[in-house]
Amino acid sequence: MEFLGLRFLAPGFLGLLVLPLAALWLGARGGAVIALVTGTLESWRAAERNRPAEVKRKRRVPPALVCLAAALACGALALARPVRVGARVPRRFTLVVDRGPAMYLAEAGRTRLERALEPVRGWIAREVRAGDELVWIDATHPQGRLAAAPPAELLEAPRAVLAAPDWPRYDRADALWIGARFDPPPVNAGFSASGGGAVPGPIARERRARLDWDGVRVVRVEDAFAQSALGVTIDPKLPAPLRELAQLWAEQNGLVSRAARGADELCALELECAGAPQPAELAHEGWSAAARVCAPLEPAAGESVWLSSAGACVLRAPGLVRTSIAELAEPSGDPAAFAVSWGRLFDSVLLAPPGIVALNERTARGAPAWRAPASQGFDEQATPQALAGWLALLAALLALGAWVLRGIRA
Amino acid sequence: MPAMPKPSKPPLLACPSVKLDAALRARAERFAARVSAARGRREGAARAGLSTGGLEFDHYRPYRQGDDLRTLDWDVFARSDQAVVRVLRPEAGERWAILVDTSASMGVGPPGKLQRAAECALALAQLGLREEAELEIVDLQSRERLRVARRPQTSELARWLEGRVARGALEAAKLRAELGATRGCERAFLLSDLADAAAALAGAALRGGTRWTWIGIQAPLELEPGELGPVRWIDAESGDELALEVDAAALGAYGRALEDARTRLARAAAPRGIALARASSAEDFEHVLGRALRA
Repeated sequence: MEFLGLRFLAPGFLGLLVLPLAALWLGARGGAVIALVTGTLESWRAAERNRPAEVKRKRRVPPALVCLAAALACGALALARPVRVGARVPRRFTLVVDRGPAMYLAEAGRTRLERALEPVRGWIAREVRAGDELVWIDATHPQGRLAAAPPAELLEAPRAVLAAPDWPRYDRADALWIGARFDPPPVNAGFSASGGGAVPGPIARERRARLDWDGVRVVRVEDAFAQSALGVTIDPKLPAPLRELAQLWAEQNGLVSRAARGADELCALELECAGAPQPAELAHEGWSAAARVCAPLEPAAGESVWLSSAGACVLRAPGLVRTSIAELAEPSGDPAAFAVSWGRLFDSVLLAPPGIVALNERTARGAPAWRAPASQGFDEQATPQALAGWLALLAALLALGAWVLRGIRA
Repeated sequence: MPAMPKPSKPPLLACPSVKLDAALRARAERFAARVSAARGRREGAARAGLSTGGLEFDHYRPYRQGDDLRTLDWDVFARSDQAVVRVLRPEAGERWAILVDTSASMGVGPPGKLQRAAECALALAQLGLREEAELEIVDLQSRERLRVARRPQTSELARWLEGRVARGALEAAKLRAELGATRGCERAFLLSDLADAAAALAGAALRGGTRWTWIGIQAPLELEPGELGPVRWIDAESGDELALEVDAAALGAYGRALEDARTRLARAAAPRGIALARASSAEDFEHVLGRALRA
């Protein structure tokens, strides 16, 4: 309830404002005439005859009663816990979203993420006011982004398996965790857990076979994938040792090598060469080789540096390896070390075919749970107490004034 | 402000009754002893300077605490080992009348005017008894009378006074009649608020040989009401009402009206040799009588 720039956190106490009004009304009414017995009226009759004509009769309320009514009004306002609306500092809440595969598994047409966001939307509608800030954090936006409502992108299942947020880092009163299940729940942060039952389905690929989980057992389905569904793009401009190793790795994994990128590829190996290649000596995980490397690469969102030489020269992200190695001599040392090193890199970025979700993601998540963030923002914790405190002090002073003035009539 | 209709029932009085407890009786006795001793000293001084000064021996009475030692008859004391004092004329054989107004207006207070009047009556009676006077105490409203002989009858006197109740209206004619009924008294006291005394005095036939002392007792509310705001004043005796805003202007006019009434009474009383004393019921009876007996 807002009135005159104040919002009342306990507006029910405003009903007590009838008390001072009633006191003033009764005081003006009851105090109008007091009956007094005297020995004789003669002197008062003479006084009435002789009183100055300009003096008018007034019906006034005694000052003590005015003070008392003001004290009652201040007390009622203090109990109603007023907050200055104009003086409120915008609040900032951090909403941390788990975008792991489990969150995009659907039950009855709604994903776990959509169900987890439902109470969050209600809380936003109830609690968040103009000027408040909501910072949404997920694996693709670890620094957060401002949005008044859940960003639409959150609802799109990422192609890659995204890591879970660093939950302990956000266990604070102004944070809200959004996931499938929190066990144990956060100590300080609020949370919205979708819960949900088990969601049977494909859980893995073995070359062209698929492993399905029916809720109890794992069933192998041979030749479950079309050949086009298992494509890998290998840039033909890649240095020969690297290109040949990648093709060999793809063949070993039952994948089909392509020269140009497609929409449903599971992995892409690309060369990006800007500027004239410069000689460089590369060494990593037990191998070394002379190379010519183009301008250093700038990691994009979600990418990490795998190999550097005067700047990043190999970047990796789920489903993608980018390199600026334009030429690569035959590696020296153990040839197996070179193959194992790059093979691990390719394995780490290889995506699962669409629909494949790990078994641990498909298991049941229990009952939904919700707890709003404990933080009321930065200002409302202090302001109502401060205002209420001042009002209570004023009420006490006015009550004291009423006591002091009790003998004085209007 | 227009006068209001007269209520059907008499107003409730704040202090209509009298209570004279043991402490008050003792105070009255001490007061009487002190005043009597002071009178004795004055009379003794007069006797020393002017022979007997017309103060003739009347009789002996036992010495009482507070008596002036100069009135002690040392010869009798030496012969009989009994302490007696000599009572001189003219105090011996005097007749005193104490008239107590018990009309409803005396029930105004607090402190109650009738209460203070009864205390004064008790102390005056004690004084009279010490001075061997014959007393008659009169309830002006009921016309009851109590006659007290020369011996102390404090308890009976106090009980009689405690039986007084403030009620009814004291008409001027009734007061006039009682004032006239004090013939033969050397001293007479009127204890009242003297509300309508000037009117009563106008036609009263007072005997010349009586020394009158009128003691007007009023309640603090009547003397200094203060700025009360809107008040419905109720006449204690008639029940008439008057609604009035008691502000500074009204208070000023009221004070002037009170003073006018006092002046009228003083002018009426002076030719008749009446000593007037004014008091508040908030004062102790000792202060009230001290002033009245000096008047």
